[in-house]
Amino acid sequence: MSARILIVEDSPTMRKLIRSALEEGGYRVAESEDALQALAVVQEVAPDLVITDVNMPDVDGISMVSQMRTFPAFRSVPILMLTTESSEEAKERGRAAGATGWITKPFDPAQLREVVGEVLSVRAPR
Amino acid sequence: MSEDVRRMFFVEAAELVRQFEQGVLRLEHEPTDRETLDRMFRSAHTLKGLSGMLRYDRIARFTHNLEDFLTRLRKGELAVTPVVSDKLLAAADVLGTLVAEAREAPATSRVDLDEAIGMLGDGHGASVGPRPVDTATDGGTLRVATEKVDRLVDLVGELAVSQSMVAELVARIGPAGQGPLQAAVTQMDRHVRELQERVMNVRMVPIQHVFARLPRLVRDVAQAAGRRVELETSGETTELDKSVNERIVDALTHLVRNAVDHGIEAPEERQRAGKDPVGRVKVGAYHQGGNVHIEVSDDGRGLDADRIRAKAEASGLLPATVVVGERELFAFIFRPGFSTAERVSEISGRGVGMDIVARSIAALGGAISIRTERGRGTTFHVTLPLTLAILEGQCLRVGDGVYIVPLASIVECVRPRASDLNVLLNGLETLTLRREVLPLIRLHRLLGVEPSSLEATDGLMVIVERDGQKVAILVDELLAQQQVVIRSLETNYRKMDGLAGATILGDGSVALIVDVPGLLASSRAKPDRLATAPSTTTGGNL
Repeated sequence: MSARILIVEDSPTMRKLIRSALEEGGYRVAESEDALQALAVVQEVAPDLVITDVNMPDVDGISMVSQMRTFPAFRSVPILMLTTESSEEAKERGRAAGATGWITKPFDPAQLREVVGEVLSVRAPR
Repeated sequence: MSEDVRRMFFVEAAELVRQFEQGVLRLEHEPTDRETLDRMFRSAHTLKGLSGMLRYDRIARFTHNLEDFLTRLRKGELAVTPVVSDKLLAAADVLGTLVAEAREAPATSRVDLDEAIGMLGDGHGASVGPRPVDTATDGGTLRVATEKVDRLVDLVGELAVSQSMVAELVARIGPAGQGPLQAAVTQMDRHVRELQERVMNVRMVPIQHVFARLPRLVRDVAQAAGRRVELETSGETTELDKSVNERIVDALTHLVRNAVDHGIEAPEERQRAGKDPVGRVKVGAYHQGGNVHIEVSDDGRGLDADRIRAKAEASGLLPATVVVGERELFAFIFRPGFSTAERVSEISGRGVGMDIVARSIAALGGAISIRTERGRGTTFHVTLPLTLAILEGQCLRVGDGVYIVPLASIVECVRPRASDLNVLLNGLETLTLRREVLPLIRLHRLLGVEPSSLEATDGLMVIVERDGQKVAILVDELLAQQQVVIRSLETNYRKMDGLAGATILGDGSVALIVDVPGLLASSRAKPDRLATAPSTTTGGNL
């Protein structure tokens, strides 16, 4: 059974880009267009990995990560944040909130799959 | 990259550029609105991320710089001045062009990227240091710091006061000693007046600066509201004081926005009514009688008296039994919390209504009136003083003090008869004037001073009007009319209820200027307080 990945991203184009890259790697993909929606569906979807944007309206990615980390089932699910190279500070805050790592935009599909594969292979067994 | 993603990108990018541009327009309205800034930042940020992914390097590079610019705004290092919002609008244009060019891939670009980025880069200068007055005319131009000009204006004001002191002293000598001295004083008086006029004129700038932003605004609002609108402007060279010019921008923007959004009907509706599907909004300015007049008119549906009546009754502003004329009825749209817009539209915004427009115009010493015809359109007529610094005033006496009421707001003066005076159940005093019942304000009570007589029939009633609303102000005596130089009260004294400022009279004494809009506002807000409670502030320190 291939791993299930939840994408949280408000830009439809960016969601599409990530989805294409992941599906090409054989992953199953679920999408949320904002953090609140993601928090609502995350238990149901039970993803093996969450990839989230940082800069989103209403609730940003970092607040979402710290929220998710309070759900008992999500203490050890890896969460990758999508950031731009300029936001060193966001990466730091992301780590503090409980993010596992980050992917820098712009990325190419192979690079994304590589990082995802790496994170999934070292994840704590559930 | 797939054709699918490309198509999605262009749809999303167009939407992001549109959101950004709307953000700029909103920001012009509410320069400190954090949420708008954040939204604009997100638009630029998302566009940057996407263009980076799709290798649209020119967009990526520009949005990267735009993000930095917005960060400075978010941190408050840069304020949203007209210069800055112009830059943001220009940035929106650049973005729109870059996105279009990414799709069409023309051989040569219409955007000089370095120049566009440079424009954002020197934004620091926009908020730091004294802002220069643009003294541009047809001939040579000179940029001078506003403060320098203001200092001159102040000094000339002082000079005018000293001049009238001298004139008064000479008049006191009596006919015997005057002779050549009187002639010299008369000549000096003429020169001082001319000097004052010339110096004030330095601060005058054409209204063009304000009008220049309107085409963009009309286009954007029309697009968002699904209207087809043509804008016509006239009188761009009409000059008014720089500070008036700056402070009228928001009100004018709102009026134009309103004309497009609420005045002009949807194209189908216009066609059904036998009108040109393209609506017309005209904005014009001209000088007349020492004032600047600005008119914003549309050929839309006109104001609906029945709906305004219903809304005024529903919001408790107007009892169902009271009969009012159309003019008074239309004045309701300037009341706080009154809006006939059936939906809260994205374009007209929330909480910023006609009441704010009316208030800001009143704060400038101006007035606004409405002419409207069902199905034919509406015209808002704004009258503004040429300058904020000088006022034609009527001096009047209350007790031992001299006060000034702006001449423009006085309708008439009458000596009241006992039979015309009345006290309502709620304690509000009224004066009946030709079958019209006006609230009566005892100025001495408001100011906390001792009048010559407590009997209203011993005094005089000054009837003032603004926006179709009248009140009677009780004073002891009318004195001369004179031109006065306004000084802000807050800088010299603490802010006082009912007073707009102070001035120095010819004999060197201080006179306080009565705040007519403030009086009218408080007479309708809290009628009891004015009539029964003694004033909470006193003029003791004057």
